[in-house]
Amino acid sequence: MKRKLLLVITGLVFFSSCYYDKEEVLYPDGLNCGTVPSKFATNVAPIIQTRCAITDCHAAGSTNGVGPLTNYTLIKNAAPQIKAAVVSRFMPQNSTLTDVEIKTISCWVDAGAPEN
Amino acid sequence: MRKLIVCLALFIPVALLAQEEDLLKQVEDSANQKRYVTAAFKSSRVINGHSMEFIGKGVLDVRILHRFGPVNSGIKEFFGLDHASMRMGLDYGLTENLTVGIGRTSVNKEFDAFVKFRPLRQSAGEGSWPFSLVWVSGITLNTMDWVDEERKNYFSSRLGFYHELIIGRKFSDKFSLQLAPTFVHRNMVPGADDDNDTYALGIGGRLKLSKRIAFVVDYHPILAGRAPNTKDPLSVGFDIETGGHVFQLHFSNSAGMNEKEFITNTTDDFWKGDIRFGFNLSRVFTLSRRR
Repeated sequence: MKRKLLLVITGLVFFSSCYYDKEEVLYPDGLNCGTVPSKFATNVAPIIQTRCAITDCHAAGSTNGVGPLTNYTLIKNAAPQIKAAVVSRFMPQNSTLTDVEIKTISCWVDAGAPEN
Repeated sequence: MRKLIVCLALFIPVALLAQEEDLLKQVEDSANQKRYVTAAFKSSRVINGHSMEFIGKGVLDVRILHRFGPVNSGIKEFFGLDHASMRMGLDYGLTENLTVGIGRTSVNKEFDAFVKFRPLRQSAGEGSWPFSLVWVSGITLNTMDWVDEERKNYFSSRLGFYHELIIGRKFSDKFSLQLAPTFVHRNMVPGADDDNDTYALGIGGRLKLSKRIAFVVDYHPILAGRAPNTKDPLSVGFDIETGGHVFQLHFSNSAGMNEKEFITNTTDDFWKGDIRFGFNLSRVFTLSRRR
């Protein structure tokens, strides 16, 4: 039992081994945070306003999930959850975000959710 | 007759003293035997990082960790308690000096596994050794959907690794300190200029306040390869022990619950008040039969 467990763990470590990949370099034509616009006021907030902060979803007074997403503070505080939900395409539930929109939100969150 | 009594009275204390010396010598002898120093920390984690402490052979440690939202988000968010992320984990002691563990964190739907080994153990008495040396190696696996399903995605991109060497010493009943040079590798990083390798120095300390309560500090200054926009994770808290359970209540600028996550993804600044409340709950079960 002990040996098997150790074998599995060392196997995992060895077979996957070490890579030095950079997303921007590996996928030069792909979406990355250098090319996708991800300012809060001009890019992120409009997506959230039209896709998330709507009636029955995350409008004012909402008690769904992370609650209302109606201003910067509320959005910033829920930033990790928002990223996780949109990247996994769990959210939004009534519409589908484009790849660029998803990347816009995740890049903004990765940048520390700045008020820019 | 009187002389005899006086004689005895003079002699008895001397005899008693001699006897006492014998007993003291026995105590000294047993005190001089080599014995391992235990309970440098109450838990196998300082707060976020691994501690020099082990759970023991045949012991299963069920660990449930919670990290909440920023405290400064105000009463409306109930000071961050409305937002929680968690890690569930199982640690198992294969031997006194070897522990393996697995866990799963809600953030990034991340699995992690580690091996923790103690080649040297602090001891007292004859042939004593001044500190404990512990090696920890871990792997993390992000299981989120790919951002772009169309491109060629690699399984390796989901993986991260960490290795750390813990040098720790229990200085007295009240005070323990450990240093943990830590190396984190991420197979894929977002930016072309980002470093895949990050180096940090873990500093963990414990000050025992009472039999059941201790004050703990866990700080990981990043030495090289810092991920962009990240800060040094700092956590302070209290360990509370109640027979079989250890509660670790703390405040931290980090929401990460494994080494890769809190060293490369702590974006909040402790000194600007971006602090989160969190707790670790640990319950140990002894599985193997005592001989």
